[in-house]
Amino acid sequence: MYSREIDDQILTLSASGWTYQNTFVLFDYETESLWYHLSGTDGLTCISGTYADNVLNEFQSTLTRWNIWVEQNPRSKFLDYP
Amino acid sequence: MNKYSVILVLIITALIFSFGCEIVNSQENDEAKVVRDDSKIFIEDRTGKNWDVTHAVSHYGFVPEDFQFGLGPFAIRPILDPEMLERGELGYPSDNNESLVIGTMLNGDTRAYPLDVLGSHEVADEQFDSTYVAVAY
Repeated sequence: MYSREIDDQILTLSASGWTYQNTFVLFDYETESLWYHLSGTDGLTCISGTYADNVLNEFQSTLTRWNIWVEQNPRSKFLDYP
Repeated sequence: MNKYSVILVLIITALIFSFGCEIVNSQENDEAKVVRDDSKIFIEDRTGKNWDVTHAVSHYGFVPEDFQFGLGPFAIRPILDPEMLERGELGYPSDNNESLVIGTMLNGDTRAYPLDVLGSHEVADEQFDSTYVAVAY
């Protein structure tokens, strides 16, 4: 999970349709900058475009199973998507 | 069958075989089409859109040909302003459901994103109180 705020601007991040070394390359709708999780770094680095060299900070998230997650977080919300 | 007929059949067979290989190669070859224009380097996706990757190449050592697929910017759409279910609401999973999820906790709010949904969108553009985040798979 990454921040999508930079310079007082809120970005809409999306898959660009490209992958690089089997990792999705993201882009933002607002500036069409390309964002990539460089190995050995935290966050998403802007590798090309308006925000080149800026980093969107990473927040902690956990890949797990719902039954384990909800046992530890009984008040967790769950994505509602048709 | 005289020898000219044999040669003709061999040539036709070779042509058919090479044409077949060309089709297979073009399907298996997902690498980016690279366009160089003066000092700029672009990769062209399947929609014809050019992406400037000059900085990625010069500053981070990306190899332009190693970008793959190039499905276009709207082939995989993010989830925008996702709705959340709370316990007791219709559709909220049972406690013994073993689906894979990405669990997050921010600003006192705890949320889970099932991979079977997130996987087909790649990104959910979210907001936790006043903090804007992207949940990415």
